[in-house]
Amino acid sequence: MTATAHRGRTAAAALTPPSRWRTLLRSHWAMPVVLAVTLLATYLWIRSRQLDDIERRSLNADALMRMLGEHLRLTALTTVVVVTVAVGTGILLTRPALRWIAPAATALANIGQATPAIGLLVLLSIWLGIGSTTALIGLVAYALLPVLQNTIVGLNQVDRKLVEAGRGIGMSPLAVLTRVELPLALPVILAGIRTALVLAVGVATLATFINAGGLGELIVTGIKLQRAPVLVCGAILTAALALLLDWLGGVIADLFRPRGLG
Amino acid sequence: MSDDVMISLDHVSKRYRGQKVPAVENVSMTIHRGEIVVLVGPSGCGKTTTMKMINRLIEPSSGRITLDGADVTSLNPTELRRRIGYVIQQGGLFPHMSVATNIGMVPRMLGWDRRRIDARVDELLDLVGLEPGQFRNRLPQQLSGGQQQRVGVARALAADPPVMLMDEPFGATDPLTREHLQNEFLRLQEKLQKTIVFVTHDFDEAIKMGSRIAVLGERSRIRQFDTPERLLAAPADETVAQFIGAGASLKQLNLRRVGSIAYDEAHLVTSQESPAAVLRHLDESGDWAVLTVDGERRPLRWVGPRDLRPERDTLDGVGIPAPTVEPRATLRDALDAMLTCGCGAAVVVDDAGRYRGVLGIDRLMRAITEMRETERSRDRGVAEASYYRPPMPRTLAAPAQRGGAR
Amino acid sequence: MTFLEYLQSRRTLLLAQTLEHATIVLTAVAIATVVGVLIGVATYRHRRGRAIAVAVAAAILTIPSFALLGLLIPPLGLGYVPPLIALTLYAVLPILRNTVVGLTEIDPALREAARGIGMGPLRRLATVEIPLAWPVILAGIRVSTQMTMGIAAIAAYVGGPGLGHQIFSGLANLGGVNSLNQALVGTLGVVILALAVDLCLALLGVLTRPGRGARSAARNPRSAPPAGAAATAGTAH
Repeated sequence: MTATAHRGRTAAAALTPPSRWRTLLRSHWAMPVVLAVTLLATYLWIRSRQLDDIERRSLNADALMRMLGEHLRLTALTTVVVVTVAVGTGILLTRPALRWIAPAATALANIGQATPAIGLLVLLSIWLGIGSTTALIGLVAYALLPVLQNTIVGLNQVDRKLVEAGRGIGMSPLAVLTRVELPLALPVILAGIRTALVLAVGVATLATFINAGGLGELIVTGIKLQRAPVLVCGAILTAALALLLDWLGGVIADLFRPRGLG
Repeated sequence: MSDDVMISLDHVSKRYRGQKVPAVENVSMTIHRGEIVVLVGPSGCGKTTTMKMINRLIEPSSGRITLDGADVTSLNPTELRRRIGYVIQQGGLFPHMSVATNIGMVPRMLGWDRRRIDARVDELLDLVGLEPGQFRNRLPQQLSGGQQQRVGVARALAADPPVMLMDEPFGATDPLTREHLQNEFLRLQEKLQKTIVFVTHDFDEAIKMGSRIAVLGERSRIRQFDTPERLLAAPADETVAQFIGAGASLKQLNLRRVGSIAYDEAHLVTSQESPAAVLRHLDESGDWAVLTVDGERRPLRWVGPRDLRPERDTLDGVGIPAPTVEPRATLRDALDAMLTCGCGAAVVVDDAGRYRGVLGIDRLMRAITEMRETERSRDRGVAEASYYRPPMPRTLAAPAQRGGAR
Repeated sequence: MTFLEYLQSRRTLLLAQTLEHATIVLTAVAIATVVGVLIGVATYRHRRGRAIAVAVAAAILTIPSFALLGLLIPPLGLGYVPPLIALTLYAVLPILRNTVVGLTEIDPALREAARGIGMGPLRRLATVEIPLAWPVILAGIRVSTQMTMGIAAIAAYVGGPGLGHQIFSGLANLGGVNSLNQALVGTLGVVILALAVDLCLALLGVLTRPGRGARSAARNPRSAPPAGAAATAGTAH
């Protein structure tokens, strides 16, 4: 389906490099526009309402910036840790000596998918106490497996012939990894990292349950105290953040797609 | 072991864990400096495995392999492989790197400076017949199959290794391109004099490329290891004979090069010549046709009396396109060319495509008869102790009367 | 109270919550199957149409579940309906995507043959195309089920049913006697339920396609390699 579109896009980009930006613009303009309109509409709606004390306590610039900051910090840290650990482990698990472990990791990833994130966070809190460190550990644990799985799949789908050609012409194992395998696996690995980002943003909304802050606080406050503006504001901000990061991931993936594939 | 030996395999076997039958069993052979040894056999017979053990892409289970006197297992595999060029089907080019980066890979790892690498890349592109300015920055996907293959050869030659391993290097190209690449590679080899191990399942290719051919059976067991001439004339057993297949005598046409027999001359005219003058010439000389050439003496078309209209001014576009062959082409290639145009003659051209002479079907027939007779007399009397001959004997043995091979 | 004692003492409640959990997930997936297959059938012939459909479904999947639930509360109130709608929305993408893949992968010759013997478009769809694409669609259904099982745990917070109540009780009693038991039974219960349902669906696959295993075009909706990546990357096509 979209595979053909991608192929056409890369071929065009390879022949006329400058048009790469234009192609990028053409395929990625919609999401920022939708988000901007949604956020603006939400803002105007909230401004048009008489806010009571409770609502004002949550919906002011300081509080919003604090929660957004906590949310972003948690997301960013999770992503950094996940990428380092998962990509590193993925590389190790695709080396000949350790390749036999890889299927187990994939099986684990499939089970992990059905695990409720909130359950994981609560269990970790019982064990480690509540707070942002526990939240970070939970988020990492939750986002790790999909990225690991994608790294393994990405590296395994690199044409064995090319790997052997690399070894055959005298590239060291490290050179084969960094110059052939990783560049060719990059699109799939990037897709995995994008997944990690989205999962991290999503699970970070639950961090508030274990006192680790984030935009989830708005949603919880909105539900508990039955304040629709707070609830809607929290939900829309979280959704917008997730969609924005996912969009950014898509742009970066297109930007770093190795030339000559397709 | 003489100085002449470049590679030797000594009772080499490969067993994979969990498999009862070894993939390669007890293979011994010596390969001399500067020769092309072709490993040929049915698919799955272990010929590629045998080859890959030389550069240790596959580690032998037992036996000894030496390269230039040194046991390969005593060398660092990466460094070993930098001394051995490696070419695989479709070139095995890295799709995300430009042609120049692909070719410059090994030199870069050897720590050459930028300028030296650039110069080497251009030199190699020239060598394999690709214009550097045009191809340097292209990506593999922007090349035709034949061009990819040439870049693959250039990449293997980058660090000027004395030995090359080639695994079905021309396998994925169409017959015409393949023939062209083969000829070109033979021309290169005349200059470079590398020691080459060449794997193919195509027996015709083996005959054309090999100084010696090892016909392999199951588990890579050597059924016969001989020069192409001897293989065709005296197959060691039924299996080899079957593998050579029908038409062994037709295959002998692969053994001789166009450059090794005498050419005829054609009457050359430019396209600007008047049809009337040509008619007069044909009448007087009794030739069946004249050959039109361009300003560089590159052949264009055969023009016979029936193609001529006296009322026209020039010969532009008149006649049938003249098929051409290079001196390095085999007689089989020449015969193919003749049959395609149906004119019973092929024009011999040099590397630049310029006219050198004409090879007629009668010359070809005579050459075939001669070859038959030599092989027959050799079979009758001379029992040669070793069939090993110095590298590239066939192209040099019988220089052409006119010009010949360079 | 040990874990086993806890299970013993709350047997009836736990069984009821497990059933509720399974019911809401299966209901959502059933609705999503109808919706996903219908949209897939309607759009798979048009490149732009199916790109937009998949992109929208992918965008919905990107929205954090807690946020989506939150957005549904002001118009619909607390209770059963918001989680059901949220779960359905999430479950659509894998099914829709696999329907499109399954239908486009059908050998054109077969389609041609069906037309050749005089089948109308609807009959062709019902007797040839959907059955041929079914293993791929079922693989999508399995992915959707796995995914929504986990998400459904949050439904408890907004008054929905299911094992999530155990987890949130555990959270509320943090430090209390039964906290660990509750969190554990909630979490493990969901995982085990997911595995059991997946097994049933796999069995269904075997039964509905005798002699052939279900192909899986997408295993993990969010991180599915190339095909999945292409689909999520196509957000703005």
